[in-house]
Amino acid sequence: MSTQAMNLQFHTTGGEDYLEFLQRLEFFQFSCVLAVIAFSALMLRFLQLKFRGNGGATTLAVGWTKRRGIASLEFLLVLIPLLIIILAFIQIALMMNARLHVGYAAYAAARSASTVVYSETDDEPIGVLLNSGEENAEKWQRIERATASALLPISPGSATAAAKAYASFSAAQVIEDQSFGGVDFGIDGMAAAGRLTAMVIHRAGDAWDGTRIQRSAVKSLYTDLATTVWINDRNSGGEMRDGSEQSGTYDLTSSDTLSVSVDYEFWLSVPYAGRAMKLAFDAAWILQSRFLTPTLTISDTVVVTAWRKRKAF
Amino acid sequence: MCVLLNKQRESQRGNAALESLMLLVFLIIPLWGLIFTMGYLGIRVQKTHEALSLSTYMFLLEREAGTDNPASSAQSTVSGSVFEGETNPLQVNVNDQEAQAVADQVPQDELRTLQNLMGSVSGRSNIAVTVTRKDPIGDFETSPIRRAMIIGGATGTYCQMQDESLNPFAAGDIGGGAMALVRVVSGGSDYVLAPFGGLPGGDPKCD
Amino acid sequence: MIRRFHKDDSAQVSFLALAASLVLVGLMAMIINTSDVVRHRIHNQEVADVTALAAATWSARGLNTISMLNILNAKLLSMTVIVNAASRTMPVVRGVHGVQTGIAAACTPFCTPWSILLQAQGIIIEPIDAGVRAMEPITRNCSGAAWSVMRGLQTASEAVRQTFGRIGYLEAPAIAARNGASSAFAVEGSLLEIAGSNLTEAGALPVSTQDRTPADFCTAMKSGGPGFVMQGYTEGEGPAEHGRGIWSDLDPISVFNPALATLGAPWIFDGFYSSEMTRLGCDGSTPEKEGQKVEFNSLPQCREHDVTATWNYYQDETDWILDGSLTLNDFVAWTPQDVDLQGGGGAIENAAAAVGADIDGAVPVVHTPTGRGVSELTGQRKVRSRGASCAGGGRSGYPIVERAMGSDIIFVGLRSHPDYTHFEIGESGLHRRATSVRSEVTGTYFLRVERDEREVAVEGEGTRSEYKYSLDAWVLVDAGEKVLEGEELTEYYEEQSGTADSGPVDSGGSCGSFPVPHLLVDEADDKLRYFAVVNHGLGEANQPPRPFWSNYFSVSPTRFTSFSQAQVYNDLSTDMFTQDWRVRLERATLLEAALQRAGDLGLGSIASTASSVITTVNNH
Repeated sequence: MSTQAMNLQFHTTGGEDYLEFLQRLEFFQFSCVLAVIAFSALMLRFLQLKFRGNGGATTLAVGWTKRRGIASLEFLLVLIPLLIIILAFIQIALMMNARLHVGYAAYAAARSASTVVYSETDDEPIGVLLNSGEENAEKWQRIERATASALLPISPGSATAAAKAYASFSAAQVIEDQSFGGVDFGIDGMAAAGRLTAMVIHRAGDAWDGTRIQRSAVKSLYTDLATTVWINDRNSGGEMRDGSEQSGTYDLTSSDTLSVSVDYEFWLSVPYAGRAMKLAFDAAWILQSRFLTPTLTISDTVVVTAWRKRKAF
Repeated sequence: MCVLLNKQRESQRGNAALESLMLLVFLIIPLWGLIFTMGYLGIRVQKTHEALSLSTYMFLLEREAGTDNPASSAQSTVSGSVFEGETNPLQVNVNDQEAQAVADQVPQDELRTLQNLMGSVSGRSNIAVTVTRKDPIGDFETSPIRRAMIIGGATGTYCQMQDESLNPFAAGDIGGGAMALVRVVSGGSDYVLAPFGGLPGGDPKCD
Repeated sequence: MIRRFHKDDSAQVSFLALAASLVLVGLMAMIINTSDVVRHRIHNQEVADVTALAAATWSARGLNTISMLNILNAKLLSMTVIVNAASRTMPVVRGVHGVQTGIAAACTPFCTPWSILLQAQGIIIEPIDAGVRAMEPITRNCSGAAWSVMRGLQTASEAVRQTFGRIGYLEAPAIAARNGASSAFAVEGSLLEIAGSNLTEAGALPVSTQDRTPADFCTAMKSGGPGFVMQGYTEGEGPAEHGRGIWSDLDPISVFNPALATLGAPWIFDGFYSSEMTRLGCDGSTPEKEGQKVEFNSLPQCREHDVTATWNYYQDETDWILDGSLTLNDFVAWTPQDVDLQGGGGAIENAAAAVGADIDGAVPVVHTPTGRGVSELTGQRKVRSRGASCAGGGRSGYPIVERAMGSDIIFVGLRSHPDYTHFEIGESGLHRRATSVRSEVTGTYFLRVERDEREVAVEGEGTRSEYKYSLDAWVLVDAGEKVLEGEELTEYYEEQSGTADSGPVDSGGSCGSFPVPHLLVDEADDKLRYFAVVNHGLGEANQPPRPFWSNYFSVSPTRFTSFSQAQVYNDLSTDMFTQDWRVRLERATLLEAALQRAGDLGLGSIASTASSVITTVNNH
């Protein structure tokens, strides 16, 4: 039990401590898988034993039993790699689907940016974007809202899954900050998960009942957290893509085109195959807690016309 | 007979691994390959659409600015920015198509005046911008994706109206005797009227 | 049999493979569906963009056309000012030159250099004067070529105003349909206003000539503007100033080069130029055109405006001649000799010249005497002028003349007098009895001929008869004049433009309320925005029946709707003399504004709810 988790007092809706709930959930899921495999093997063996033929020499009966045992083992030996391959295929197909969604999200973001950037609001002149942290920064909000609607279908709808996925890429940011030395990723992951749950409850408000609203709220929140929109390599927080920090406003008044990129942290939800996929792209993931769901950054860039007013001379 | 059955079972036991391998190679992998291909095709179509959108508007803007060959200028801009670093060609083709259907629904008297007024200006034609992109990957090269968008005329209003071939004064109201006067005033080439003011020195923007 | 199946354990993996295959097929269907939906959404949005731009482009093109026509009218109006000023300058300059030449001749040989200079100046003046006189008919009067052109250009502007927007409305959904949309529309922003939208003006461009005057050209003529800079003019100089500079500036390129400065030409021109601009109202004063004196040339006009026509009464006679067979018809093509034939109103030749006149110059009418009698006439004299009021209706405007009834004298209207015969001048210039509407234009005349006879003794032949013919003629020399203004003046000129009987009504730099520029109306902002909605998918009637799983799974969408908004703008200068109207896409604010307005007007809570929803999802 972490001090942080206790201080933040995260609990499930049933009043149970969140950390224990998640740990038990993890154990439960793993146990289920093993149980299914074992049960399948046992059932098959039972069927074989039950329906074995009468008669025959004892030697043959013994030999026959041995052969059935070999068949079951062979079945298990074939099953596991096959399962892994199939799961991998499923995961890749889901990633392909996500890539299509991200492509559309990039188009939506670009279309939004091409007109929103060159509109005029009370605080933002034509062609100028305030950082999202500034008061009355409306343009980035609109662009990110346009993007989010395209990514909702591929975002996790359950709070647990979303929490675990979010914790993974926010924890990954902790790695990049070189805080590896003294940080318990498990604890940070719990804290992040707890925060996510609290935020979901807060966002849903009085309507915290009904699966659809829960799922919508979770999807919406996760999409907000997992998506970064870059316009000409700068995002709403004022960061540049190459890592150098830029503060203040972003002036796009003289751009003829806008290059809009969307980065989305797609959760690799297929068990085992997801982790394998993540490891293939990022070997450092091995250091992460097995509790967290890995995510992969899917990115796409769209170039659009900047619909600014053009002077004749 | 038992020996025969045993031998059968031995051969059948060996089939489990072989069967799984065959199913994997001939069913599951092709299915997955199909999924991957459909997904990749979807991404290519998206990219072609985006290229079409950018090409269309780049073409309009180049034409408005009076560029000589706006289609190829748009093509090089789009290739350079959207498909940066790639060597496969992006082609932008532009076709003018007459939009006669529009004219049919306008009252004829007004249309006649309008037709006389606008002459042969391209405002009555539609332009089809077609973007074709071949894929850089091996076997996909022979199946280029083609997307077209039909746009109404162009935004090149200023340069079009500067065009000498435009004849907005063919309206019958003015009368033939005034034509010479009008051409002199608008054409800017007759020195006789120069002292009276009104002839422009010409604007190189649309040259 | 069952045992045989159960003994065969090699099929254990197949169920897993089958399940995996089904899953993969499902995934493939999902990916195909995703790429299909995404492709349709992107394409639909593109079509909406192109639809909005198509409608807006027609508006921009129309505004550019009208701007071009306004610029041309400004140039032509400038030309009339310049030409009129020049045509008034040259006689003065020639006069000055003549005086100076006389003085120089008188002081010879001391003034020899001056005489040489004056000779050189004379050589320069000659072609200038000729050029001005050649141009003068084009700008003179309100029926000159320049005025005809300006009238035509203004008519063309009105045609563009009414048609271009409507064509845009037609073309926008046509473009959408050609790009595969099921239905589409584009509408200008002002029509989305719930209240106060003027549907009768739907489709017309947001420009108008209402409450405009020719003085609205003044700024453009004098100072130019960005639109004129685009045409090659110097910044701050319009076509009128440009022309004035060429004529009056004392530099070598000026028509009045420094050598003519001694004649005072530049300053004389400047004075007349200012006068012409004042006449237009370009100095801020009330333009003279408000209250324009118009001379009428037909009795119907006289009656319409309730003025007084003027008739001249002439008498003419022959000597004693031998021919006693002459009749009235032999005296047709009689003409008065004292009426001014150059300018002014009412002369027979001018009226005839206006008939079928070519703008390159009036063709003089040749009066061919149709009878022998005209050549015998010797003693024409004008007896009197008499006015005739046109206030009395259809037959008024004719003078009251004497008629002998036995021993009494009564007074009757000329038209009713049985002894007079009415003649008119036909289109060909030949005189004939009055038969048509031309019988009441200036130049028409009434003739009465009487014959006297006497016997004269001739030496060696006895007596012979001699005859003397006396002719009385009444000629309509003008049909009255009146100061017209406002609507009355506009209607008068509109009538003149369509009839062949129009005669000269004014000379100078203005023709009443004509021409006027088409300028942007107030609150044109929303009218320069176009909102387009495009649908793609099956129509309601063609929807397939919902599949059985639709209660558990969402059915794929069969309709896609996209919207877009385009704006017509002029970044250089938002006026109707700058030919740089362009189009661009912008954020779709019209829908939000319309729903907001609906909510404010209390048109239902749905409008307010929809408005807040739209505000959230309308992100492009």
